[in-house]
Amino acid sequence: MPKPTSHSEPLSASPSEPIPASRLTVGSTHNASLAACYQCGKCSTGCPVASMADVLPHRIVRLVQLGLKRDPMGSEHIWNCTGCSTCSTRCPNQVPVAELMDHLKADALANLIPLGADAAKIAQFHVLFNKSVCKYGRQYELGTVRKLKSSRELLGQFKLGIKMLRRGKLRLRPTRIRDRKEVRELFRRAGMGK
Amino acid sequence: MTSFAYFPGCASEGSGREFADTMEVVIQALDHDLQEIPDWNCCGASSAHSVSEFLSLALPGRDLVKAEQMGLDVVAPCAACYSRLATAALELPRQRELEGEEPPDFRGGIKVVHPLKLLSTPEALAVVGSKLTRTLKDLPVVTYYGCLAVRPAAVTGVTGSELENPTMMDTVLELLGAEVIDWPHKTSCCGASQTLPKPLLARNLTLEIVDCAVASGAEAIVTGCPLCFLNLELQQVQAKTDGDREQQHIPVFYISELMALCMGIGDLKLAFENHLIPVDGPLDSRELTWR
Repeated sequence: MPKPTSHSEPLSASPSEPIPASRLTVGSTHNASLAACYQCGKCSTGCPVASMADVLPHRIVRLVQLGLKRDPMGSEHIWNCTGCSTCSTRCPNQVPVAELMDHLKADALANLIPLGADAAKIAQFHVLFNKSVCKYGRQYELGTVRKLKSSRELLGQFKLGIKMLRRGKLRLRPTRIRDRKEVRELFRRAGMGK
Repeated sequence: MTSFAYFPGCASEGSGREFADTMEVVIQALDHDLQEIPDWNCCGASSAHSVSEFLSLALPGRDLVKAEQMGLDVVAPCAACYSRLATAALELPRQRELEGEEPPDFRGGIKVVHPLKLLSTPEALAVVGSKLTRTLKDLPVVTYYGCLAVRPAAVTGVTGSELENPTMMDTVLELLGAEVIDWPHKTSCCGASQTLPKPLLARNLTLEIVDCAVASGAEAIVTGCPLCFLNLELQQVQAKTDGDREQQHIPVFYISELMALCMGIGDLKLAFENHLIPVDGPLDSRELTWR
Protein backbone atom coordinates (compact mmCIF):
# COMPACT_ATOMS: atom_id res chain seq x y z
CA MET A 1 0.00 0.00 0.00
CA PRO A 2 1.50 3.37 -0.93
CA LYS A 3 1.92 5.87 1.87
CA PRO A 4 -1.16 8.09 1.64
CA THR A 5 0.78 11.29 2.04
CA SER A 6 3.51 10.31 -0.37
CA HIS A 7 1.45 9.14 -3.31
CA SER A 8 3.16 11.68 -5.53
CA GLU A 9 6.61 11.20 -4.07
CA PRO A 10 8.36 9.70 -7.11
CA LEU A 11 7.71 12.92 -9.03
CA SER A 12 7.26 15.55 -6.43
CA ALA A 13 10.73 16.91 -6.01
CA SER A 14 10.54 20.67 -6.25
CA PRO A 15 9.14 21.44 -9.73
CA SER A 16 12.34 23.15 -10.87
CA GLU A 17 14.74 20.47 -9.65
CA PRO A 18 15.85 17.78 -12.10
CA ILE A 19 14.56 14.35 -11.06
CA PRO A 20 17.08 11.51 -11.08
CA ALA A 21 16.30 9.12 -13.95
CA SER A 22 16.10 6.22 -11.51
CA ARG A 23 13.11 7.85 -9.82
CA LEU A 24 11.19 8.53 -13.01
CA THR A 25 8.70 5.76 -12.49
CA VAL A 26 4.98 6.10 -12.18
CA GLY A 27 2.92 3.59 -10.28
CA SER A 28 4.12 0.04 -10.54
CA THR A 29 1.55 -1.51 -12.86
CA HIS A 30 4.15 -0.68 -15.45
CA ASN A 31 7.68 -1.17 -14.29
CA ALA A 32 9.15 0.81 -17.16
CA SER A 33 10.40 4.23 -16.34
CA LEU A 34 9.72 7.56 -17.99
CA ALA A 35 13.42 7.65 -18.84
CA ALA A 36 12.74 5.02 -21.53
CA CYS A 37 10.89 7.59 -23.67
CA TYR A 38 12.82 8.39 -26.87
CA GLN A 39 10.29 10.92 -28.20
CA CYS A 40 8.78 8.92 -31.07
CA GLY A 41 5.51 10.77 -30.55
CA LYS A 42 3.27 7.71 -30.92
CA CYS A 43 1.39 8.70 -27.75
CA SER A 44 0.54 12.11 -29.18
CA THR A 45 -0.49 10.61 -32.54
CA GLY A 46 -3.07 8.34 -30.94
CA CYS A 47 -4.32 10.78 -28.31
CA PRO A 48 -8.04 11.57 -28.88
CA VAL A 49 -7.66 15.09 -27.44
CA ALA A 50 -4.29 15.94 -29.03
CA SER A 51 -5.95 18.38 -31.45
CA MET A 52 -6.81 20.67 -28.54
CA ALA A 53 -3.64 20.09 -26.50
CA ASP A 54 -1.61 23.04 -25.24
CA VAL A 55 1.26 20.64 -24.54
CA LEU A 56 1.33 17.30 -26.40
CA PRO A 57 1.75 14.07 -24.38
CA HIS A 58 5.26 13.23 -25.63
CA ARG A 59 6.38 16.76 -24.77
CA ILE A 60 4.92 16.40 -21.29
CA VAL A 61 7.02 13.26 -20.80
CA ARG A 62 10.11 15.14 -22.01
CA LEU A 63 9.47 18.09 -19.70
CA VAL A 64 9.21 15.76 -16.72
CA GLN A 65 12.41 14.00 -17.81
CA LEU A 66 14.14 17.37 -17.82
CA GLY A 67 12.87 18.22 -14.37
CA LEU A 68 10.62 20.98 -15.73
CA LYS A 69 7.61 19.52 -14.07
CA ARG A 70 5.84 22.72 -13.26
CA ASP A 71 4.98 23.45 -16.91
CA PRO A 72 2.91 20.33 -17.53
CA MET A 73 1.39 20.60 -14.05
CA GLY A 74 -0.16 23.89 -15.16
CA SER A 75 -1.18 22.63 -18.62
CA GLU A 76 -4.78 22.12 -19.64
CA HIS A 77 -3.97 18.88 -21.42
CA ILE A 78 -3.50 16.80 -18.28
CA TRP A 79 -7.07 17.73 -17.36
CA ASN A 80 -8.48 17.18 -20.86
CA CYS A 81 -6.97 13.68 -20.81
CA THR A 82 -9.89 11.23 -21.00
CA GLY A 83 -7.92 8.39 -19.40
CA CYS A 84 -8.36 6.17 -22.47
CA SER A 85 -4.80 4.74 -22.08
CA THR A 86 -4.21 4.59 -25.84
CA CYS A 87 -0.84 6.28 -25.20
CA SER A 88 0.34 3.77 -22.60
CA THR A 89 -0.91 0.83 -24.65
CA ARG A 90 0.77 1.87 -27.92
CA CYS A 91 4.07 3.07 -26.41
CA PRO A 92 6.93 0.94 -27.81
CA ASN A 93 8.82 1.32 -24.50
CA GLN A 94 5.87 0.76 -22.13
CA VAL A 95 6.14 4.29 -20.75
CA PRO A 96 3.08 4.78 -18.51
CA VAL A 97 1.95 8.03 -20.12
CA ALA A 98 -1.69 7.93 -18.97
CA GLU A 99 -0.61 7.17 -15.39
CA LEU A 100 1.75 10.15 -15.59
CA MET A 101 -1.23 12.40 -16.37
CA ASP A 102 -2.95 11.18 -13.18
CA HIS A 103 0.17 11.88 -11.12
CA LEU A 104 0.50 15.36 -12.56
CA LYS A 105 -3.15 16.13 -11.81
CA ALA A 106 -2.84 14.94 -8.21
CA ASP A 107 0.38 16.92 -7.84
CA ALA A 108 -1.13 20.05 -9.36
CA LEU A 109 -3.97 19.88 -6.83
CA ALA A 110 -1.67 19.13 -3.91
CA ASN A 111 0.66 22.01 -4.84
CA LEU A 112 -2.20 24.44 -5.56
CA ILE A 113 -0.95 25.12 -9.10
CA PRO A 114 -3.10 27.86 -10.70
CA LEU A 115 -5.41 26.40 -13.36
CA GLY A 116 -7.19 27.92 -16.36
CA ALA A 117 -11.00 28.09 -16.35
CA ASP A 118 -11.58 24.81 -18.27
CA ALA A 119 -8.98 22.89 -16.28
CA ALA A 120 -10.40 24.24 -13.03
CA LYS A 121 -13.88 23.04 -14.01
CA ILE A 122 -12.60 19.51 -14.67
CA ALA A 123 -10.63 19.53 -11.41
CA GLN A 124 -13.77 20.69 -9.60
CA PHE A 125 -15.69 17.76 -11.10
CA HIS A 126 -13.17 15.24 -9.80
CA VAL A 127 -13.21 16.83 -6.36
CA LEU A 128 -17.03 16.86 -6.24
CA PHE A 129 -17.20 13.26 -7.42
CA ASN A 130 -14.88 12.23 -4.62
CA LYS A 131 -16.76 14.27 -2.03
CA SER A 132 -19.92 12.42 -3.00
CA VAL A 133 -18.21 9.05 -2.53
CA CYS A 134 -16.74 10.25 0.77
CA LYS A 135 -20.15 11.30 2.03
CA TYR A 136 -22.36 8.41 0.86
CA GLY A 137 -19.93 5.63 -0.05
CA ARG A 138 -21.52 5.69 -3.52
CA GLN A 139 -21.70 8.18 -6.35
CA TYR A 140 -24.77 10.45 -6.18
CA GLU A 141 -24.95 11.66 -9.77
CA LEU A 142 -27.70 14.26 -9.41
CA GLY A 143 -26.03 15.84 -6.38
CA THR A 144 -22.70 16.12 -8.21
CA VAL A 145 -24.36 17.59 -11.33
CA ARG A 146 -26.26 20.18 -9.29
CA LYS A 147 -23.07 21.40 -7.63
CA LEU A 148 -21.02 21.40 -10.84
CA LYS A 149 -23.36 23.17 -13.26
CA SER A 150 -24.54 26.78 -13.28
CA SER A 151 -28.30 27.43 -13.33
CA ARG A 152 -27.99 28.45 -16.97
CA GLU A 153 -26.28 25.19 -17.91
CA LEU A 154 -28.87 23.21 -15.97
CA LEU A 155 -31.69 25.02 -17.78
CA GLY A 156 -30.13 24.17 -21.16
CA GLN A 157 -30.26 20.49 -20.28
CA PHE A 158 -33.62 20.65 -18.54
CA LYS A 159 -35.47 18.51 -21.12
CA LEU A 160 -32.75 15.88 -21.05
CA GLY A 161 -32.75 15.89 -17.25
CA ILE A 162 -36.50 15.29 -17.13
CA LYS A 163 -36.20 12.43 -19.64
CA MET A 164 -33.53 10.84 -17.51
CA LEU A 165 -35.45 11.30 -14.26
CA ARG A 166 -38.55 9.72 -15.82
CA ARG A 167 -36.55 6.69 -16.89
CA GLY A 168 -34.96 6.28 -13.49
CA LYS A 169 -31.55 7.11 -15.01
CA LEU A 170 -31.05 9.83 -12.42
CA ARG A 171 -31.95 9.15 -8.83
CA LEU A 172 -33.47 11.94 -6.78
CA ARG A 173 -31.91 10.65 -3.59
CA PRO A 174 -28.45 9.27 -2.87
CA THR A 175 -27.87 5.63 -1.93
CA ARG A 176 -25.84 5.36 1.26
CA ILE A 177 -23.76 2.39 2.25
CA ARG A 178 -23.92 1.13 5.84
CA ASP A 179 -20.29 1.47 6.82
CA ARG A 180 -19.64 5.03 5.65
CA LYS A 181 -17.17 5.55 8.48
CA GLU A 182 -14.80 3.06 6.91
CA VAL A 183 -14.86 4.90 3.57
CA ARG A 184 -14.45 8.28 5.25
CA GLU A 185 -11.40 6.91 7.03
CA LEU A 186 -9.84 6.13 3.62
CA PHE A 187 -10.39 9.73 2.54
CA ARG A 188 -8.91 10.97 5.79
CA ARG A 189 -5.81 8.87 5.22
CA ALA A 190 -5.58 10.32 1.71
CA GLY A 191 -5.54 13.77 3.31
CA MET A 192 -8.92 14.61 1.80
CA GLY A 193 -11.49 14.02 4.50
CA LYS A 194 -12.12 15.76 7.76
CA MET B 1 -21.77 -23.65 -12.22
CA THR B 2 -19.35 -20.98 -11.08
CA SER B 3 -20.13 -18.50 -8.34
CA PHE B 4 -18.90 -14.92 -8.57
CA ALA B 5 -18.71 -11.98 -6.19
CA TYR B 6 -20.85 -9.40 -7.94
CA PHE B 7 -19.97 -5.70 -8.01
CA PRO B 8 -22.97 -3.88 -9.57
CA GLY B 9 -21.38 -0.40 -9.56
CA CYS B 10 -23.08 2.98 -9.07
CA ALA B 11 -24.37 3.13 -12.67
CA SER B 12 -26.47 0.03 -11.98
CA GLU B 13 -28.62 2.13 -9.65
CA GLY B 14 -29.29 4.86 -12.20
CA SER B 15 -27.96 5.62 -15.65
CA GLY B 16 -27.01 2.03 -16.47
CA ARG B 17 -29.93 0.20 -14.87
CA GLU B 18 -30.95 -1.72 -17.97
CA PHE B 19 -27.38 -2.92 -18.45
CA ALA B 20 -27.03 -4.34 -14.95
CA ASP B 21 -30.52 -5.87 -15.10
CA THR B 22 -29.99 -7.68 -18.41
CA MET B 23 -26.38 -8.58 -17.67
CA GLU B 24 -27.40 -10.29 -14.42
CA VAL B 25 -30.10 -12.30 -16.22
CA VAL B 26 -27.72 -13.36 -19.01
CA ILE B 27 -24.88 -14.35 -16.67
CA GLN B 28 -27.33 -16.41 -14.61
CA ALA B 29 -28.66 -18.04 -17.79
CA LEU B 30 -25.07 -19.11 -18.47
CA ASP B 31 -25.41 -21.07 -15.24
CA HIS B 32 -23.32 -18.77 -13.06
CA ASP B 33 -24.29 -17.61 -9.63
CA LEU B 34 -23.87 -13.92 -8.69
CA GLN B 35 -23.47 -13.00 -5.03
CA GLU B 36 -23.50 -9.26 -4.46
CA ILE B 37 -20.54 -7.96 -2.43
CA PRO B 38 -22.11 -6.84 0.87
CA ASP B 39 -22.15 -3.06 1.47
CA TRP B 40 -19.90 -2.39 -1.55
CA ASN B 41 -18.61 1.15 -2.06
CA CYS B 42 -17.96 3.20 -5.22
CA CYS B 43 -14.66 2.21 -6.87
CA GLY B 44 -13.81 5.87 -7.48
CA ALA B 45 -14.15 5.45 -11.27
CA SER B 46 -12.44 8.16 -13.32
CA SER B 47 -12.15 10.64 -10.47
CA ALA B 48 -10.27 9.02 -7.58
CA HIS B 49 -7.22 8.25 -9.74
CA SER B 50 -7.19 11.86 -10.91
CA VAL B 51 -6.71 13.20 -7.40
CA SER B 52 -4.97 10.52 -5.32
CA GLU B 53 -3.17 7.27 -6.07
CA PHE B 54 -3.88 6.09 -2.55
CA LEU B 55 -7.65 6.48 -3.01
CA SER B 56 -7.54 4.91 -6.47
CA LEU B 57 -6.32 1.70 -4.80
CA ALA B 58 -7.92 1.99 -1.37
CA LEU B 59 -11.53 2.45 -2.57
CA PRO B 60 -11.65 -0.66 -4.80
CA GLY B 61 -9.38 -2.33 -2.21
CA ARG B 62 -12.17 -2.28 0.37
CA ASP B 63 -14.44 -4.12 -2.08
CA LEU B 64 -11.72 -6.61 -3.04
CA VAL B 65 -11.09 -7.50 0.59
CA LYS B 66 -14.78 -8.36 0.98
CA ALA B 67 -14.74 -10.44 -2.20
CA GLU B 68 -11.65 -12.26 -1.01
CA GLN B 69 -13.42 -13.08 2.23
CA MET B 70 -16.21 -14.58 0.09
CA GLY B 71 -13.52 -16.57 -1.70
CA LEU B 72 -14.92 -15.68 -5.13
CA ASP B 73 -13.62 -14.03 -8.29
CA VAL B 74 -15.26 -10.68 -8.98
CA VAL B 75 -17.53 -9.76 -11.89
CA ALA B 76 -18.22 -6.06 -12.52
CA PRO B 77 -20.38 -5.26 -15.57
CA CYS B 78 -19.26 -1.60 -15.87
CA ALA B 79 -16.00 -1.17 -17.78
CA ALA B 80 -14.80 1.61 -15.46
CA CYS B 81 -15.52 -0.40 -12.29
CA TYR B 82 -13.84 -3.41 -13.89
CA SER B 83 -10.78 -1.34 -14.72
CA ARG B 84 -10.39 0.16 -11.24
CA LEU B 85 -10.99 -3.17 -9.46
CA ALA B 86 -8.64 -5.04 -11.80
CA THR B 87 -5.93 -2.37 -11.38
CA ALA B 88 -6.20 -2.56 -7.60
CA ALA B 89 -6.23 -6.38 -7.65
CA LEU B 90 -2.94 -6.24 -9.55
CA GLU B 91 -1.36 -3.39 -7.60
CA LEU B 92 -2.25 -4.07 -3.97
CA PRO B 93 -0.38 -7.37 -3.52
CA ARG B 94 2.56 -5.93 -5.48
CA GLN B 95 2.64 -2.72 -3.45
CA ARG B 96 2.94 -4.88 -0.38
CA GLU B 97 6.12 -6.37 -1.75
CA LEU B 98 7.51 -3.10 -3.04
CA GLU B 99 6.80 -0.81 -0.14
CA GLY B 100 6.99 -3.28 2.70
CA GLU B 101 4.65 -1.10 4.67
CA GLU B 102 1.53 -1.94 6.61
CA PRO B 103 0.21 -5.17 5.15
CA PRO B 104 -2.79 -4.59 2.89
CA ASP B 105 -5.76 -6.73 3.65
CA PHE B 106 -6.02 -7.89 0.05
CA ARG B 107 -3.77 -10.89 -0.65
CA GLY B 108 -4.43 -11.27 -4.37
CA GLY B 109 -6.11 -14.66 -4.04
CA ILE B 110 -8.93 -13.76 -6.42
CA LYS B 111 -9.26 -12.30 -9.93
CA VAL B 112 -11.49 -9.64 -11.47
CA VAL B 113 -13.23 -10.96 -14.57
CA HIS B 114 -14.54 -8.79 -17.39
CA PRO B 115 -18.11 -9.76 -18.29
CA LEU B 116 -17.42 -9.59 -22.04
CA LYS B 117 -14.83 -12.33 -21.57
CA LEU B 118 -17.29 -14.33 -19.50
CA LEU B 119 -19.93 -14.05 -22.24
CA SER B 120 -17.66 -15.05 -25.09
CA THR B 121 -15.84 -18.18 -23.88
CA PRO B 122 -16.45 -21.28 -26.05
CA GLU B 123 -18.48 -22.78 -23.18
CA ALA B 124 -20.63 -19.65 -22.88
CA LEU B 125 -21.21 -19.56 -26.65
CA ALA B 126 -22.32 -23.19 -26.61
CA VAL B 127 -24.89 -22.45 -23.89
CA VAL B 128 -26.14 -19.32 -25.68
CA GLY B 129 -26.43 -21.27 -28.93
CA SER B 130 -28.49 -23.97 -27.25
CA LYS B 131 -30.86 -21.43 -25.69
CA LEU B 132 -31.60 -19.25 -28.74
CA THR B 133 -35.32 -18.78 -29.32
CA ARG B 134 -34.86 -16.36 -32.23
CA THR B 135 -32.17 -14.58 -34.22
CA LEU B 136 -31.42 -10.97 -35.17
CA LYS B 137 -32.15 -11.70 -38.87
CA ASP B 138 -29.01 -10.08 -40.30
CA LEU B 139 -29.49 -6.81 -38.40
CA PRO B 140 -26.47 -4.72 -39.46
CA VAL B 141 -24.61 -3.51 -36.36
CA VAL B 142 -21.23 -2.15 -35.34
CA THR B 143 -19.61 -3.22 -32.08
CA TYR B 144 -18.24 -0.47 -29.86
CA TYR B 145 -15.88 -1.57 -27.06
CA GLY B 146 -14.52 1.80 -25.95
CA CYS B 147 -11.38 1.99 -23.84
CA LEU B 148 -11.39 0.18 -20.54
CA ALA B 149 -12.56 -3.27 -21.63
CA VAL B 150 -9.28 -3.61 -23.56
CA ARG B 151 -6.87 -0.97 -22.18
CA PRO B 152 -4.47 -0.65 -20.47
CA ALA B 153 -3.14 -4.01 -21.64
CA ALA B 154 -1.21 -4.55 -18.40
CA VAL B 155 -4.53 -4.51 -16.53
CA THR B 156 -6.90 -6.26 -18.95
CA GLY B 157 -4.47 -8.92 -20.15
CA VAL B 158 -5.73 -8.31 -23.70
CA THR B 159 -2.95 -8.89 -26.23
CA GLY B 160 -2.08 -8.73 -29.92
CA SER B 161 -4.66 -7.70 -32.50
CA GLU B 162 -7.43 -7.86 -29.88
CA LEU B 163 -6.06 -4.62 -28.42
CA GLU B 164 -7.02 -2.60 -31.51
CA ASN B 165 -9.59 -4.97 -32.97
CA PRO B 166 -11.37 -6.84 -30.19
CA THR B 167 -13.85 -9.53 -31.25
CA MET B 168 -15.52 -10.69 -28.01
CA MET B 169 -18.88 -9.06 -28.79
CA ASP B 170 -18.55 -9.75 -32.53
CA THR B 171 -18.44 -13.50 -31.92
CA VAL B 172 -21.53 -13.37 -29.74
CA LEU B 173 -23.47 -11.19 -32.19
CA GLU B 174 -22.64 -13.43 -35.14
CA LEU B 175 -24.03 -16.33 -33.14
CA LEU B 176 -27.18 -14.26 -32.56
CA GLY B 177 -27.53 -13.80 -36.32
CA ALA B 178 -26.50 -10.15 -36.66
CA GLU B 179 -24.44 -8.81 -39.52
CA VAL B 180 -21.37 -7.41 -37.75
CA ILE B 181 -19.86 -4.61 -39.83
CA ASP B 182 -16.14 -3.92 -39.78
CA TRP B 183 -15.39 -0.29 -38.86
CA PRO B 184 -12.51 1.77 -37.48
CA HIS B 185 -13.92 3.04 -34.17
CA LYS B 186 -14.25 -0.13 -32.08
CA THR B 187 -11.82 1.10 -29.42
CA SER B 188 -11.89 4.87 -29.97
CA CYS B 189 -12.54 6.93 -26.87
CA CYS B 190 -16.00 8.56 -26.57
CA GLY B 191 -14.78 10.93 -23.85
CA ALA B 192 -17.27 9.71 -21.24
CA SER B 193 -15.10 10.93 -18.35
CA GLN B 194 -15.55 14.49 -19.68
CA THR B 195 -19.34 14.30 -20.23
CA LEU B 196 -20.05 16.35 -17.12
CA PRO B 197 -17.12 18.78 -16.76
CA LYS B 198 -16.42 19.43 -20.47
CA PRO B 199 -19.45 18.34 -22.51
CA LEU B 200 -18.30 19.72 -25.88
CA LEU B 201 -15.13 17.65 -25.75
CA ALA B 202 -17.19 14.52 -25.13
CA ARG B 203 -19.69 15.51 -27.81
CA ASN B 204 -17.05 15.94 -30.51
CA LEU B 205 -15.49 12.56 -29.79
CA THR B 206 -18.87 10.82 -29.58
CA LEU B 207 -20.39 12.31 -32.72
CA GLU B 208 -17.35 11.28 -34.76
CA ILE B 209 -18.00 7.71 -33.62
CA VAL B 210 -21.75 7.98 -34.26
CA ASP B 211 -21.27 9.51 -37.73
CA CYS B 212 -18.89 6.71 -38.69
CA ALA B 213 -21.35 4.07 -37.45
CA VAL B 214 -24.10 5.57 -39.62
CA ALA B 215 -21.80 5.88 -42.64
CA SER B 216 -20.76 2.25 -42.30
CA GLY B 217 -24.38 1.18 -42.84
CA ALA B 218 -25.12 0.03 -39.28
CA GLU B 219 -28.65 0.31 -37.94
CA ALA B 220 -27.48 0.17 -34.34
CA ILE B 221 -24.38 0.44 -32.16
CA VAL B 222 -23.78 -2.38 -29.68
CA THR B 223 -21.74 -1.71 -26.55
CA GLY B 224 -20.82 -3.37 -23.27
CA CYS B 225 -20.12 -0.30 -21.15
CA PRO B 226 -22.71 1.83 -19.31
CA LEU B 227 -20.59 4.99 -19.55
CA CYS B 228 -20.14 4.63 -23.31
CA PHE B 229 -23.84 3.84 -23.68
CA LEU B 230 -24.94 6.92 -21.77
CA ASN B 231 -22.59 9.11 -23.75
CA LEU B 232 -23.58 7.65 -27.14
CA GLU B 233 -27.24 8.27 -26.39
CA LEU B 234 -27.24 11.59 -24.63
CA GLN B 235 -24.73 13.33 -26.89
CA GLN B 236 -26.93 12.48 -29.90
CA VAL B 237 -30.05 13.74 -28.12
CA GLN B 238 -28.43 16.90 -26.74
CA ALA B 239 -26.74 17.72 -30.09
CA LYS B 240 -30.18 17.74 -31.72
CA THR B 241 -31.68 19.89 -28.94
CA ASP B 242 -28.85 22.39 -29.34
CA GLY B 243 -29.32 22.46 -33.13
CA ASP B 244 -25.86 20.97 -33.70
CA ARG B 245 -27.20 18.02 -35.67
CA GLU B 246 -30.27 17.36 -37.78
CA GLN B 247 -29.56 13.73 -38.46
CA GLN B 248 -31.62 10.76 -37.44
CA HIS B 249 -30.48 9.20 -34.17
CA ILE B 250 -28.94 5.75 -34.34
CA PRO B 251 -30.11 3.44 -31.52
CA VAL B 252 -27.66 1.95 -29.05
CA PHE B 253 -27.96 -1.52 -27.52
CA TYR B 254 -26.20 -3.27 -24.70
CA ILE B 255 -24.80 -6.64 -25.80
CA SER B 256 -26.66 -8.18 -22.84
CA GLU B 257 -30.00 -6.80 -24.06
CA LEU B 258 -29.64 -8.44 -27.48
CA MET B 259 -28.55 -11.70 -25.88
CA ALA B 260 -31.58 -11.61 -23.56
CA LEU B 261 -33.83 -10.79 -26.54
CA CYS B 262 -32.61 -13.79 -28.54
CA MET B 263 -32.65 -16.13 -25.54
CA GLY B 264 -36.17 -15.06 -24.55
CA ILE B 265 -35.20 -14.04 -21.02
CA GLY B 266 -35.39 -10.90 -18.86
CA ASP B 267 -37.73 -7.92 -18.84
CA LEU B 268 -36.91 -6.21 -22.14
CA LYS B 269 -39.86 -3.84 -21.99
CA LEU B 270 -38.33 -2.35 -18.87
CA ALA B 271 -34.93 -2.17 -20.55
CA PHE B 272 -35.85 -0.80 -23.98
CA GLU B 273 -38.36 1.77 -22.68
CA ASN B 274 -35.52 3.20 -20.61
CA HIS B 275 -33.49 4.09 -23.72
CA LEU B 276 -33.36 7.76 -24.69
CA ILE B 277 -33.27 6.75 -28.37
CA PRO B 278 -36.15 4.43 -29.38
CA VAL B 279 -35.13 0.95 -30.55
CA ASP B 280 -38.32 0.29 -32.58
CA GLY B 281 -36.73 0.98 -35.99
CA PRO B 282 -34.28 -1.90 -36.23
CA LEU B 283 -36.38 -4.34 -34.16
CA ASP B 284 -39.88 -3.74 -35.61
CA SER B 285 -38.68 -4.02 -39.21
CA ARG B 286 -37.48 -7.54 -38.36
CA GLU B 287 -40.56 -8.42 -36.35
CA LEU B 288 -38.48 -8.81 -33.22
CA THR B 289 -41.23 -8.04 -30.74
CA TRP B 290 -40.35 -7.14 -27.17
CA ARG B 291 -43.40 -5.36 -25.73
